[in-house]
Amino acid sequence: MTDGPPLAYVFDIHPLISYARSDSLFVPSLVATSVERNQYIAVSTVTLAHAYRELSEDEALVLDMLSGGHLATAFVMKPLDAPAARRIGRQARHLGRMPSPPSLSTLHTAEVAKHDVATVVTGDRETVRSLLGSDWPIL
Amino acid sequence: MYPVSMTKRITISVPDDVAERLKAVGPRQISSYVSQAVRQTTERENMNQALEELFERFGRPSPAELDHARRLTDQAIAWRAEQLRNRGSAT
Repeated sequence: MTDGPPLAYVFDIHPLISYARSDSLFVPSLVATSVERNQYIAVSTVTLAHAYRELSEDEALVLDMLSGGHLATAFVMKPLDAPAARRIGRQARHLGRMPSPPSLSTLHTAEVAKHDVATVVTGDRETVRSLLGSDWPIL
Repeated sequence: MYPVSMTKRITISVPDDVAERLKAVGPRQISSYVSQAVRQTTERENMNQALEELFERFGRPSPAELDHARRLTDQAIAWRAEQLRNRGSAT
């Protein structure tokens, strides 16, 4: 557990992609209300890189607004350090035998959520639930 | 962390309640206290402006959508606070 800033959410890759593609106003609404409540949103840097990989250049420019513009101050980027890389790599190898193994970015998102005790926003609730347990709040 | 910058001396007038608060802060801390407050306000204004630009570009959430998001955010805050309290009392 960290003594860091107040975190309302950890974003998995799906809200980042949804935001960049402007699929719905749900994610901007969560961002707006987090800002309103003086809360931060954590994003794994692995997840951020994964999101950029999935986006067109035009969409990536929208994500730039979130990760590099004025709104970036509402976000806390969580880097993957060496101990976490070792843990997550081993976990991925172990879970890789499953029919739908979680991505490295989802594994890191779950790790950040666990460490910082925050609600996860994801498009893959089942996988995140399998990593964090049935009681963990997931949107 | 803010970069070290030149300082300027200015005189301002403030309401009584603000003056009382600044008095409580202490004369040596007033400048940094006010500077921090102005920076936080500026940061918030910039974020609100960025949100406005976002909504202008992609559409504005309805009041119902924002209320729904507020409820979810409040739940997330409350859940986290409870978890941290429980962890604190367990140690």
